[in-house]
Amino acid sequence: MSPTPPRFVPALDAKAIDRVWSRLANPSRAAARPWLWVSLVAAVCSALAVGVVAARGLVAPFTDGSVFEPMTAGSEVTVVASTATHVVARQVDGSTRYRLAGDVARQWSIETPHGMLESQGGAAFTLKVSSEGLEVEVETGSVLVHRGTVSRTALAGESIRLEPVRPDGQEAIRPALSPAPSPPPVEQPPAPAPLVAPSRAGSPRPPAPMTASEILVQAEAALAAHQPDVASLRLTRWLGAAPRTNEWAVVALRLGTIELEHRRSPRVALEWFDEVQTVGAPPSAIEDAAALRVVALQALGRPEEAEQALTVFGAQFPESAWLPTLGQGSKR
Amino acid sequence: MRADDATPLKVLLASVGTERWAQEKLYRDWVDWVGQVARSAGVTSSELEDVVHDAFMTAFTSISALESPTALRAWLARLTVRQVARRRRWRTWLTLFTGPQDETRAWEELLDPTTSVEVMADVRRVSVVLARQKHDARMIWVLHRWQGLSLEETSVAVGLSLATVKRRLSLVDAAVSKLKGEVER
Repeated sequence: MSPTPPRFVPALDAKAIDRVWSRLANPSRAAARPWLWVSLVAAVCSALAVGVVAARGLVAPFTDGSVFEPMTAGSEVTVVASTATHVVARQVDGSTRYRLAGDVARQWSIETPHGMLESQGGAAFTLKVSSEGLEVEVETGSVLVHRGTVSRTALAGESIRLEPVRPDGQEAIRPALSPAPSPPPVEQPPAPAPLVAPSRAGSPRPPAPMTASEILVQAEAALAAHQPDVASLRLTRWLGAAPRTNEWAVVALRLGTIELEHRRSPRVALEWFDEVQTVGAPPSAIEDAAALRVVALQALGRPEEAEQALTVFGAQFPESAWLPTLGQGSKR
Repeated sequence: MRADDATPLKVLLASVGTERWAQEKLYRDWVDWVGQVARSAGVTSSELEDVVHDAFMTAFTSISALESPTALRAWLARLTVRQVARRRRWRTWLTLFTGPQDETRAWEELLDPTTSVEVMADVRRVSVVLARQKHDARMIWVLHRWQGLSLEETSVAVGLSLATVKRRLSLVDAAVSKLKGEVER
C-alpha cells in the first residue's frame, strides 16, 4: 500500500468555478435555482409514493415464512453446526470475525478476537449482532442459526445476513438467504411463498401498483443481489394483484424461470408455465412456457410426461429453436 | 492571499460580510478546498456545484461566527460537511427509489491523471474498505489521511469530539492495515 496520500485534482474545473461564483454574485438567481423547486415537488411526490407503497404493504418487512423476531444491536443469535462444517461469521461493520471449524460429532473450535475457544461435539456458539448486522457464511456442511423460536438453515455456499431493527422500530430482521451456486442442496429449499392463484373465472382484480416492466426491473435487481426469494415474492405478489393480460403472462413466465433456475422449485415453476398457457399470452411467451414446461417436468423426474410434452411441443412449434436442446433438459 | 498570510486574511474576513471583492477573493482562494472536502464527504459530481455554492453562501452570511482566521480552513470544512449532510438526508429518501449510490467512486474520479498505477490500485482497494465503514468514520478517515486535516480540524469539520474522531479513525485504520497485510501477503 502506498505510504503517501494520493494526489487529487481540483474538484471543480475553471468553468464550474466561474459558474458557481456568478450564482453567488447574483443571489436572486440562486433563489430561482431549479433544483429547489424540483426538490420540493419530488419531496411531495415521494411522500405520496411512500404512503401509497406502505399502504399496499410493499415496504412491509420481508417475510419468506421465517422472519426472525425483531432484534436490536447486541442481541444474540446461536449458530449450531448441523454437519461437519467450516463457517465464517462476521459482523457487518467489520469489527469482528469469527471462524468456526470442526466436526459436529467430535470437536469444534472457534477463532475469536480473544483467542481460540474449543468445544465438544454438537457445539452451539452464541454471537452478538453488531449495529450493522451479522453475516454467517457457510463454506462446507450446514449450520442452523437460531433466534428465539425461529431457525434458519444455511448450506454450503449460502449466507444468512441478520440486520438489526432500526431505532425507529419499523424494520424487522431480514434474513436474506443467498442461493448455493452449485449442486442442488440436499435439503429442500425453504417452502416457496404461497402462490396467490389468480382467479380463473376472471373477475379482474384492482390494478397493480406497478407496471410489469417496473416489477420485472425490481425482480432482476433482487436476482442481481442474489436474493431470488425476494424476486419470487415480489413477482408473486404482483401477479396476485394484476389483471391477466399479455404483460401478466410475461411476468408469470419470468417467475417460472426464476423458480426453475434460481430457486430450484420445478413444481412451482410448472404451475406458472401452465398459467402462462391458459391466458392470452404472446406467441413467443407461449412457446417459451411450453418448452420450459418440458424442462420442469424433466427436473421433477417425470420423464414420460416430459417426453409427451416434448412431442406436443414439437408438433406445435416445429421450427422452434428450443427443439435441438430440449433433449438435454435445458436450453439456457 | 492565502490562509497563512494572517494579517491580510484578517482584513479580508472582516470585509467578507459586506464587500463583493472580499467574497470573491475568499471564494477563489478556497473553492478547491471546499470542493475537495465535499467530494471527501461523498458528494456526487452532479451535486458538487450546489454544495460548494451553498457552503460559500453560508460562509458569507455567517462569517462573524468564525472565531479566528487560523480556524478558517476547518470552519469552511465544517460548513461544507453540514451541506453534505443535508443532501445526504435527502438522498437517503431517494435511495428508496433509486437504490444505494456508490460514494466511494468520488475519490477515484478525483485522482490526478499522473497518479501511478500502484497508487490508483491502492485507492481502489482502500475505497472498498471505506465503503464498508459508517459514513462518519469514512469521512473522518479521508479528511485526515488523504486531505491532510489535523485531528483537531477534523474534529471541528465533522462536529464530533476529538476522542470520538480518534476512536473512529483507529477503527478504519485497523481495517486499512488489515487490507495492507493481506495485500503484502
